[in-house]
Amino acid sequence: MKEDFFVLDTIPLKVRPKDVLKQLGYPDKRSVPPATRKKVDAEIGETQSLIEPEGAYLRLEGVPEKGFQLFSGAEGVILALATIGAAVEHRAGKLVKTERAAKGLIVDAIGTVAVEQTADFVEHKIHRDCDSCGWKVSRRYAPGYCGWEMEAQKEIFSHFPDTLGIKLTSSCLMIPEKSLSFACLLSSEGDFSKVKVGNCKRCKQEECPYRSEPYQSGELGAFDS
Amino acid sequence: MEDKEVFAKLTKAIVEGDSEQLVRLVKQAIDKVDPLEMVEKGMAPGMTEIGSKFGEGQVYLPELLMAAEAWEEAMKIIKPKLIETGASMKKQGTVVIGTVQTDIHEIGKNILANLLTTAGFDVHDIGCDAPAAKFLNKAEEVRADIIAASAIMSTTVPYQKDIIDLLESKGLRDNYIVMVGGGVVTQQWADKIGADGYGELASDGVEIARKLVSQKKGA
Repeated sequence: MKEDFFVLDTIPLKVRPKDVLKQLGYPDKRSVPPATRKKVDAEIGETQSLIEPEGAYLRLEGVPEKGFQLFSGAEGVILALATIGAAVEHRAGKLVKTERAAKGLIVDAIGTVAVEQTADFVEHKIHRDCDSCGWKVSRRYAPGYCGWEMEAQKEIFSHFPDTLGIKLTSSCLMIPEKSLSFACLLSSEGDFSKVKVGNCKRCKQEECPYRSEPYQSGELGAFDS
Repeated sequence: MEDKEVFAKLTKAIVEGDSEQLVRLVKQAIDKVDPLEMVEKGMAPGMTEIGSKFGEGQVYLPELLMAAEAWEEAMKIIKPKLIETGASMKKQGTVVIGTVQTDIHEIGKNILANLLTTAGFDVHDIGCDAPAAKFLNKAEEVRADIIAASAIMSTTVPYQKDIIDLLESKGLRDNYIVMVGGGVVTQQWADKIGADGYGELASDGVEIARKLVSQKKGA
């Protein structure tokens, strides 16, 4: 089933203050006090060297049976990992525990921005590679979101043994925490309409903060029972 | 400098989250002004003001935390003086806080723990991946008022209910205020499992904790 396995260890990242401030909840730069902006700039400088972005992905023909029911209908799937390593979250945790919570929060936000950028880079590379092979690729989906069960992590990680130093806990969370796993669907025609993942109308997780439209009964979804 | 002037400057330094200025002011005043009054009439109003501004959306979490950090720095100087003079600050209540079983996310929980400490709560942090029994055992040991349980993922949120179920099965539910929070937790979820309090953000937790303890003690 496995066709290719790529590791990306040279990922150019630039954590921008405006992205970190957005992650911290500021709606615009006018709402940022000068002291906070100064702290964010200083922490980006301090933290940048701790960020170790890496990614990996592989392409599967067909869709795995276990944990990927919502993906049925796709012709293939790309599985991917992205991480920035553990150093940033260790620094954030240490700062919060030593009564420097503001700095810790800023460092945590820097880590979140960095791992999202890493995943963006991996996803971009996937799209570029697949385009050149004639495949159409969907946006990325991550276990735990859009109605996709966390158990799928086990299937994803079974294809990436000892990759990038990411470990899966018994509850399917990743260590380092600043890691992301995701899947993209493949189609020769670019038609993903039959795939069930990522459709709020089909998801019964009523309290999900990411819900964009109401659940419609009768639609089969991940949380139907 | 008159005491009133000192208090106003302390308040301002807290609101601005200016640790250096606050520590400087405290050092200058510590032998001339009643340390308890420095806290109650200078610093505490600053925390109230920044808390209100946060509630009104005028400032964001980093500013609130900077104020809390400044408070902690100042308290390192003031606390020994309080002990020396025999004065004591009013304790708000005792909290056992942790992240539920199988969940390893700590930052939100640690931020709330910090803010609760600053607000005068006696906080016992049991860390992450904590089973319901660990929350209960610690709460019994320290005679807690509040059990605060954080969960970030939809897969770990059900363990918050385990804590309430355990308290009920032991006949101890009425002994404790149970607060829940974390990424995907909502007021609806808190209501559904019978939690007493819910905070959307770590920073909401302090006001909720204050209110619930005051209700409990008044009951």
